Amino acid sequence: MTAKKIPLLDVRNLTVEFKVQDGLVRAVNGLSFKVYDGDIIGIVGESGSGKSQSMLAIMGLLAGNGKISGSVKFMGQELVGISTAKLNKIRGDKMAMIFQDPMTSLNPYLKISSQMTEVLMLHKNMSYKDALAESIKMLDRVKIPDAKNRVHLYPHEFSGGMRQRVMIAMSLLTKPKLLIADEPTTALDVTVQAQILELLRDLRKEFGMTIIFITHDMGVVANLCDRVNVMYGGWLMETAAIQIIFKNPIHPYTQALLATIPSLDHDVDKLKTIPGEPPNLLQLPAGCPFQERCSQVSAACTQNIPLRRVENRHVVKCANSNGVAL
Amino acid sequence: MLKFAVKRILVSIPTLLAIISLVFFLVHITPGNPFDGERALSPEALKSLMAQYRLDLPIWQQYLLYLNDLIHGSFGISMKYLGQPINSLLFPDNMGGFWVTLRLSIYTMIIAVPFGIILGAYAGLHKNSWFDKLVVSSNIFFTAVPTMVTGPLFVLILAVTLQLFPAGGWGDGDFAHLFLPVLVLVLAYSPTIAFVTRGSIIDVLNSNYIRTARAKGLPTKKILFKHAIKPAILPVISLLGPMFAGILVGAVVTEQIFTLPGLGVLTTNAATNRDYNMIMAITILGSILTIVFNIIVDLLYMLLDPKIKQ
Amino acid sequence: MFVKAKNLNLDTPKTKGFWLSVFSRLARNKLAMTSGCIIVVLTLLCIIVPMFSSVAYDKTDWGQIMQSPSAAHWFGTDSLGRDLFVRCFIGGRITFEIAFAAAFVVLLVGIFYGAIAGYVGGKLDTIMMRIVDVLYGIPFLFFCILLITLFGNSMALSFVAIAAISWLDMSRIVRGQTLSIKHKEFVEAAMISGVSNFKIITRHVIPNLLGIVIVYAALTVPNMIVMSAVLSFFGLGVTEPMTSWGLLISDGAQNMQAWWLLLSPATLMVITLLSFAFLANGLRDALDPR
Repeated sequence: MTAKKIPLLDVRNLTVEFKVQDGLVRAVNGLSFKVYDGDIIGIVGESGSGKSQSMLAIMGLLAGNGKISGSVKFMGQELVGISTAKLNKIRGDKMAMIFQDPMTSLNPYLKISSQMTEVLMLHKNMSYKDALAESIKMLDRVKIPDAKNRVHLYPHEFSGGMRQRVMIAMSLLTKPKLLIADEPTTALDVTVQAQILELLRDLRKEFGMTIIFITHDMGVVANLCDRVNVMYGGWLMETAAIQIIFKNPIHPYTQALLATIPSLDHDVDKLKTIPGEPPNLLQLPAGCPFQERCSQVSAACTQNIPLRRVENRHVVKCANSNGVAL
Repeated sequence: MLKFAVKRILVSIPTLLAIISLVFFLVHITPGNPFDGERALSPEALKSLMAQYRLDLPIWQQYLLYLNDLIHGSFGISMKYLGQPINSLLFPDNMGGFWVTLRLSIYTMIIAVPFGIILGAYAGLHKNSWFDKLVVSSNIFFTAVPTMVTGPLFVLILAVTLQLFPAGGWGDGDFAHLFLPVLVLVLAYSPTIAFVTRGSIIDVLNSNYIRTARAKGLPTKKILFKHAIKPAILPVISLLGPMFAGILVGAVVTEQIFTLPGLGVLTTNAATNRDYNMIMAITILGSILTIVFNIIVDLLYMLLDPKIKQ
Repeated sequence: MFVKAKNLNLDTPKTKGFWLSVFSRLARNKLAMTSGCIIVVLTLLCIIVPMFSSVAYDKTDWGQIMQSPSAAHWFGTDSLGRDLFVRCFIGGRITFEIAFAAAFVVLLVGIFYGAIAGYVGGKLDTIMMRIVDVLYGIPFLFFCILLITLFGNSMALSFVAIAAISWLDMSRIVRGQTLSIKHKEFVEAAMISGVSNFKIITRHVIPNLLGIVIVYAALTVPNMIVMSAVLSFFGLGVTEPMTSWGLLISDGAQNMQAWWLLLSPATLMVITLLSFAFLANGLRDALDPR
């Protein structure tokens, strides 16, 4: 991958703020990253890391009290500050999103057929009949049994895993260039989880899709992704190709995340966890947001820490790392 | 659907029967008879009165006969207007009695429900605007201050001082005579509808499935009218059941304020004359209406919510 | 989502610290505090004014019929020349007496009924709640009038009749709350470790009900005021020469030319009802901050 290629998604200095009762909360802080065609990018972090909010911001789906600044270029087009009408031409068509909770992400009052066909009728100007045929085809593709009849059911008549398949099928109808998956397997049990991941991997090959996969599970990232962004407290902490992250994790938080992957090779009595609690965004310390839980904390951690490039496309934000400040 | 409807109706029969029994036995077990207060009656006259009202029979016989009357659509005979059937007082041929109350209630529902829903939806879509704050505070005001206070105040300002409307009376049921009573009732109930609609719109718009609809690139209009309207309207519908009972009683109170010849007058007369049969009839009629309306609301709810359908 | 949710106080065992923080939150709510003060002042006035007034509430003065408000009669006089200022406050006293008494009965019956149904559960619960459902089907006003007609028209009976039909909401709320408390870990733990039912109820259930009961009490009193006033419109409850706000408003509504007859009691009643509404709102926010 050469740097000259135009990225599919180019996020620069993205900041997301929320007005809440006790003041202003910064959910995402100057986030920058690029996604190239065909990649699967993992975004990893605990709750409150800003991983979901940054992706919702890109899709223009922030809650009413959210404010976004910075730049998001998708296929060369700036998305920040664009009108809803223009954004509606892109989202759902060229980029799509699937969500964490399949139980509540489908409208319980509308039939699956109605929820699926409306996407094609809107973006591809299809007739209802054609759109329905296409929807059934896609449901077949995500392995929903008896799709021809079940397309006319309501969401509550499907199991959780089946609903997530419906969500995936719905988001793939327009063959989007970019699929953002926000913890799509978190609410499902483990076997179903594996099936959904398998499905995503196949579909990506088939459609030549680019995927951004949000998760808190480093194990899933290892299985699926080409690159990974590690986020904490609204900041990007480390980003690198997947092999590099696993071979040479630099940030203590990344190391801690990697240590939480349960391993089949060793007998481990206990699942490892990262000590301490996820950060309270209202009271972040100055400097590194991770300092209070960090095992390698030093005086430098309370200072402003720049992102440093360790090697090509491996960037880290840690006071104790080497590298060139960006 | 039909099965559900039949089941829903069957379930409410024991409830109605329980209400009728409660009212009947409460009235008939209480010591003393309704003619106690009357001018001294000769023993013979009293005896014939008691016989006419079946009060000389054992109580269970009275009860069964009363149930039999009800099944045949009769509420018995008035104890004040001797010998006059209650049905002719409750449902007179000309406008009066129950018809007045029913018309007031229906006008109120027809106006207050869409009015409240539109106001509430607009407030919910523009949360924290001045209009939203107006809806929220008018809800606080009109749920706290009842029609029996707002009604006379409206009469004082709009009828007596500004002379815009007649201060009371039914007229021939014309616009001018009905405007104030209906206004008072609409103002009493539409803020609650607006407030519930507002809350439910806000909830629905924050829901995950509306976020999905936005992620699909649907235009706002489509999101509101296809995805949001049904779930947003459901809480309002379940509110209407209990509200109808409230409106019925509210209409009776409003009749008192505007001196309309409805159930209100009949109730007052019955209370002062200890016309037990009449009060029983009005109470049971009110219960029947409440139960019927609740059934309608439940069926409506079921039509809209696919989860209950099977 | 990313801001850690504060502990929901209604779900946790009550401690002194909890009530302190409730009180401090309430104290910061100016509207609720003002409303509370207004209620206290009005109650005091209703006690004091009739006690120290130079004219009695039922003193007729044929030379002073239907006088508009003046220095001698602040709120004017009625069709019998009685001083409306005194009548408004004696009427307020009666109204408050009925309302507080009825509210007390409502709370007592509602709490016991709901707590028993919720705590015992099973068949008893089903039966008890079915009874409540049935009573909900009766339009309250008619039933109340029926009761008063049956048992005679007196002030004492009118509040019993009002209370008898108003405890339904309370019992439902308390039952729901009791059910949820019953399944809280700290109560289940107490049950398993053999703490007696009585102790569980007094130590865990009742203190956890307190919040909701306080809020509901602040809502019940104004409801009872309205109910007793509505009965006055039907000529039931308080009778002349004694008076109540409902009776005064009903009188005023029949003598619209003398606007003060309506405006004086109506204003007092509106102020009272709104004060209770704001106080209840403030209490609810203070007990369950979100």
